[in-house]
Amino acid sequence: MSTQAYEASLNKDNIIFAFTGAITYNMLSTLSAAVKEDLQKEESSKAYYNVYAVLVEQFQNIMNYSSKRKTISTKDVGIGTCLIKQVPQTNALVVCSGNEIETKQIDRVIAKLEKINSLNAVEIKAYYKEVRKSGVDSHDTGAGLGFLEMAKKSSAQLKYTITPIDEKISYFELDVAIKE
Amino acid sequence: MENLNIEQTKFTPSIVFDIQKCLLEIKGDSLPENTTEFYKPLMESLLQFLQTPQNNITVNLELTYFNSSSSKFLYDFFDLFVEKNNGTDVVINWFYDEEDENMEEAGEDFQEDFEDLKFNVLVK
Repeated sequence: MSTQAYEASLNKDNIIFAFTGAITYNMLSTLSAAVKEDLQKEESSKAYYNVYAVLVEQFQNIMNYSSKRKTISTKDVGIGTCLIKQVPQTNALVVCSGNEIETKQIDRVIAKLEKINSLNAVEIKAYYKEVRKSGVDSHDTGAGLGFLEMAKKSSAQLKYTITPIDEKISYFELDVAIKE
Repeated sequence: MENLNIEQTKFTPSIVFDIQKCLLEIKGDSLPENTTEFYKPLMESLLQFLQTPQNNITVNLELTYFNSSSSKFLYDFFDLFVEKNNGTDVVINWFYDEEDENMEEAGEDFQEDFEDLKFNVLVK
């Protein structure tokens, strides 16, 4: 595909941001800040802040949990894709992530997402506070609050898709919608 | 004990801990590369400070954004004032910009979690 054709395909699908590759801390912080500055001009303060906050968590999840990895200047980082789509029909911006995941991790991830999707906004907030307090999901790279943080900011359920690649690896996609 | 003075960057807050003035201030965005490492000097100083009985401490927070691992750090930070406090009188002031609903709500959530602390949520 030519770059022109690629750009046209992004435009056709209302994709305002696209990144694929290895995600380092410098990359994720700089790109997220750039998106925030760009959206600040057009969106309400809550919408641009929420898109920023969700993009950071999506990038961090790829960096920490993608099973496809690379070493960049001594740091072990994940490879994946982040997109931001405008959906005029629902008046929402959708922050999407995609990355490879070990098939044996799938059940744990689905259980977390299903638990969150079974809750309403008030319950999500209470559950977030409970997990933050107990530290049950804390580990080396974070507090295990990423999905809950995104659910708090989202105007819809966390939409996920898991597609098997082979016996050991699947592709995990997560779409988080934010009202404009 | 030495004072702590960490300068603000685009992605990490300034941290000022003035031992003589019993004043601790954190200002800015919090998206550190490694949250535990970044806040380690602060947590160590604070733990030491709280273990010797003091008169008081004022904590002023003026955060504009924090990621989920910083959220966990903040919880653990406030928890030190409850769990490791050896008689220090603590006042926590959570400042937010009048139009910043996110930081207002975040402050109120911590206020609910730490009912036993003097935890004020205030407009800047």
